Amino acid sequence: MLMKHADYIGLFVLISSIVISSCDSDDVGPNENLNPDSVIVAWLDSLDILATADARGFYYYPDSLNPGGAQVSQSGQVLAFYYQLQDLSGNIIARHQPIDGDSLLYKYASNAVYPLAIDQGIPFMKVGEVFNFILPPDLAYEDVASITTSDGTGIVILQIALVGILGEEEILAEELNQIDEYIKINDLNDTISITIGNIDTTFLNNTILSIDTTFIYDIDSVLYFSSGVRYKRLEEGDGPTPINGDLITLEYNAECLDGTQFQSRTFFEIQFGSTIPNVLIPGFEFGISLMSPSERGLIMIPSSQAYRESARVVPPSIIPELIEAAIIPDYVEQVSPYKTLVFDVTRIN
Amino acid sequence: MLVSYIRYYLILLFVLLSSVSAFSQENIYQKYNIYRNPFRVFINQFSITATTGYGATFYSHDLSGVFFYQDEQNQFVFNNRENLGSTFLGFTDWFNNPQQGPQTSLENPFDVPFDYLPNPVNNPALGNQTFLLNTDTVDFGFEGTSHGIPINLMLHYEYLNFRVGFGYSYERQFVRSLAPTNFQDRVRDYEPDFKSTRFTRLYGMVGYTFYSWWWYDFVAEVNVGSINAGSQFNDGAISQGIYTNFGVSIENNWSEYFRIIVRPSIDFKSYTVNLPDGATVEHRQPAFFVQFGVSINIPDIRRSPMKSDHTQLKHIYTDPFTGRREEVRGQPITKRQNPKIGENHRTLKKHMPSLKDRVKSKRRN
Repeated sequence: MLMKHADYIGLFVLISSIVISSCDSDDVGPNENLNPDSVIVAWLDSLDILATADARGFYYYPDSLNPGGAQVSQSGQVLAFYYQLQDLSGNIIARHQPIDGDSLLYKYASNAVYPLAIDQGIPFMKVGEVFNFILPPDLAYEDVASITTSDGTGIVILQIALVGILGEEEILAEELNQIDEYIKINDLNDTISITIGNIDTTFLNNTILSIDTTFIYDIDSVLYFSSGVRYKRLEEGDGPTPINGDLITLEYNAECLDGTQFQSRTFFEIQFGSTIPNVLIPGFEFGISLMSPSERGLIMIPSSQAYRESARVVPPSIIPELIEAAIIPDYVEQVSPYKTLVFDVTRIN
Repeated sequence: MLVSYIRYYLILLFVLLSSVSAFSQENIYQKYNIYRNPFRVFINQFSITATTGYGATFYSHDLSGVFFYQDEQNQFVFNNRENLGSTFLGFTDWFNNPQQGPQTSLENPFDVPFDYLPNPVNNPALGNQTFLLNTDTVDFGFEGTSHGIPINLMLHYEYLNFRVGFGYSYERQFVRSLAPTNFQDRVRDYEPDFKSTRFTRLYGMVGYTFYSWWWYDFVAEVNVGSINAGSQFNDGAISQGIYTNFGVSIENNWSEYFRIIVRPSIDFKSYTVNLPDGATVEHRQPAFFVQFGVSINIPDIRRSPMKSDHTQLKHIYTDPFTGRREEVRGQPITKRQNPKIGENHRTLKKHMPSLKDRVKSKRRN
């Protein structure tokens, strides 16, 4: 009746393997067996933090208050903020603080921020306040494989510091100032003489502000348009400007005002005025409408004529993943919100 | 052309074989001066078979030599011999009726310098990403199964264990969408622009009875012929080859003149769609059929014209007016013509106990 030695060894091996396999906790992916809400409540209790539960599934509590601060009141307002992203164990995943640069902008209530929970939490805040938002995985980074938490719950704490609320008009004005500064720094108003003519002044409802098209100027100044687009002819072309339906070929370098190049195309063929596959950004299309064959020009486009609010992704490192998952458009990777663009374009034909 | 030759050959073969067969039997009837209707004798040589059932056609194709492009609305293919520009002219409906689509751009509409997207995060429009593939770089195509109902009519001549014949079949086929063989997460199913179509076949047949068991015959058959698709398939753009069908006809011989048939078979056929830009798409469409039906021979002798003639076996009947001796039968064509004891009427109805009596008897036991 007694167990033989071999039986004991077999039993020992079996128990050992069960114990070892149960101790294998290298996997830090979201643990689906845990209810995020109960984990958050337990975490708050353990630290004796009094947080408010939002019906949409997240919790929030302030770090600092500013009762006199302005509060977001309507969609379309532009918010400036800093953030810090960490898990429940306190491990910082990403952050953007004043030491890292200017505050980040995003347009409120326009589905222009990721994760969208930021949009849901911001109305609780006033300018000057710092809030912590505890986000369960479904409101945080469930779609993003690259963001993992050390505890495997997928729950993150997003600390937001709201530093300002702006109107889009203010931003445009600031962008135009920056463009003027760019023109000044690069001496764009002081080059060769050219002839101005044949500009369709009704195109995209733009009117020429400072150039009389009937004159021949001895200095090729920058053309200023009411839309905010600025055009500087760098090399004179020959022939008519394009009309709708013309198949034109361009070569261009696209960069930001600070000189950061983000795209370069040597053979960009487009049917002018076509909607296939989509229309061009208005500022770019307007700029090339001014160009004759072989002409080279610099098109300066404020965000209102380009990608406007684009999309703010927190943290930006997950942008490629979100593009791959068709959650945000591709241009977000290159153009952040309210970015002025400069296209150095040559019309080849 | 090939089909015409097969047709002439078969007709000639029928005439020759039927003549030989008729000649060997003719001596007996001549000896006893028994009349036989020559037309009946001739027509009796041929079996007429009608079947119907179910067919499953497995579509697949080789999408090589083309670019495949998918956008929100369309799936295009176009020749990959030319280098890709920023726009192209592709073709839809390359399953049956290639149609040139609009000038299409290959640019990503969500990239610089194309217009911005309002409400960009999780915008449903982002799900409509385009997909471009040079099909020479990866094994890619579509496949799917369509269901059909075939109706088949065949005439054949049988000599010893061999048979030759020809037939016509009509199939109403219900076409379903075809699923991509690769990139299933990004490529939609191909939806043909029609729901059902017809296929007609005209074919020649040869067969051999390779096994017999009781009243059952097992016949291996091969059909070869032409196949024509319905109007949904553009004749001008499609090259259709001959089709081949291999089947085993399992025949239960109820009588000399009547058989019940079950016939599983497989079809091998394909067609090629020629795109206007010179590319081709070869579609394979093998099929599996299970058909059932009946096969009859028109009797070479008529049934006895005398109502009072209850003779069960074939026998000689003398016409009271002309004195002509004629062989007649006493059974309908579905019954065995020369039944042995117990055949056809194993228990004559008049001797069968009623249902009521049978129930009583069962209860007693």
